[in-house]
Amino acid sequence: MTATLEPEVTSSAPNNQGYREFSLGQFTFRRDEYFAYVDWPTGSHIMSVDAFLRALQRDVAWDFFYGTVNFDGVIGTVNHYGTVDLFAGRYNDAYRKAELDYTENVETPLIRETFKEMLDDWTNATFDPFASPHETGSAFGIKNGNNRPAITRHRVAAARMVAVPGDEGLRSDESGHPINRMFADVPQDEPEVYPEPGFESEVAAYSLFAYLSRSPVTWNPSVVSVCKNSLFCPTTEEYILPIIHGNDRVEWFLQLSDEIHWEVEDRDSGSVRARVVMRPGDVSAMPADIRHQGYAPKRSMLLVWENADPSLPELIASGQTPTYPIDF
Amino acid sequence: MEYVLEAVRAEGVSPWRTAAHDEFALVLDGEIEIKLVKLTEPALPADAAGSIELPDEPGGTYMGRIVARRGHQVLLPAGAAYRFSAEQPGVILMQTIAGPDTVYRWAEICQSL
Repeated sequence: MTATLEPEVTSSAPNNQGYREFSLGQFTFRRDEYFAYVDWPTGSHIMSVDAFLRALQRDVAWDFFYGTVNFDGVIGTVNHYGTVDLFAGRYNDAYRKAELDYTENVETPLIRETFKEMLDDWTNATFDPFASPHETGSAFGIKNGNNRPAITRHRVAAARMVAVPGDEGLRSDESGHPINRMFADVPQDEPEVYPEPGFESEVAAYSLFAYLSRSPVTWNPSVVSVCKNSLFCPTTEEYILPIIHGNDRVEWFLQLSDEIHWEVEDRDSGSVRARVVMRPGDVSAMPADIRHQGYAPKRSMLLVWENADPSLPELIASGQTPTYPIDF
Repeated sequence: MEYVLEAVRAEGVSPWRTAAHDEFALVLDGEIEIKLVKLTEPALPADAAGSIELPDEPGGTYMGRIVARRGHQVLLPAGAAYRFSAEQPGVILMQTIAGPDTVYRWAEICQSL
């Protein structure tokens, strides 16, 4: 007989504002009406709680994603695909030089469950961490219910392609996906598909642009098509990417609509590497040794192209595969 | 395995092509008709990467056709032959794997510091 043990989340009773406090190793997390506080043996940190929850939401929804998820310039996580580093100041030159940085390696199930419970407890009924600032209420104040439907949204991850029978379905008014206010001009026509009898599951197509125009969330890639480890992960962006993503592999961006400004820094030190302004049709490659954060003045469509090959981080870290995408 | 995105100018009628794995065509401009044929005999081994051009009309069963316009994404199933037709010039972005006909242009066209 095999017994599966649920990871034991360590948390307190509600504080004066109604929120539980959480511990992971020697890290502690608490919030009040406006701020999230993180403490570790050599230091402490404070973040506006709306920014903290937006970052926490991505880390939870993406299961720690590829590489590093910086909540800001101080705290974040590094995915080792089985364990996760929870760090403070690890990728911040000032903290490193002052020897105030601190890292704990945590089994993925424990940090996953701790972060899920924290997100659930700290997100009030009025706040949607996935939504753009224009499309959500306040994260602030004393505890006021929860917003479980928003924080546990289904993550789109097609096995083959959206709209293939049995795979991820299309979005519609009926499925609760109205056209976003900023995509009212996106045509909603679908391709004409004429399968012969018996080939209905193989002859398939859909409108990616219409699909994206109905996305209710921002900065949340969906897997819409899968060619072995090559994943099309389009997303709609508005305002600021709530995390600073540190790459452990090359990642490609194709701007499908509107405009995004990217701030690109050295992944480990945070020193400035580049600023990239992308408009429709522009393509960029983010090398495997940088971190990046995007700014979208209007809601825009971005095609993120990922290589999910699990051997890549080791190949890049060992120097067998370069950090850059091509030789000139 | 080298994954690539191929930018294709679509105009007139293309040759028939096939791959041993799924590919995906995202139409970025114009109107494209895609015809599909299930090959009786696979033209490539199951582990082959990328697509090849077929020298002749494909032998197999007609699967159907799709008419796709800007923003539409189309599945090109593994083991099927496909052919693009476009009366006016169009643009297709192919999600695929590098094959014998893949042409690398990135080093020529990209801006770098």
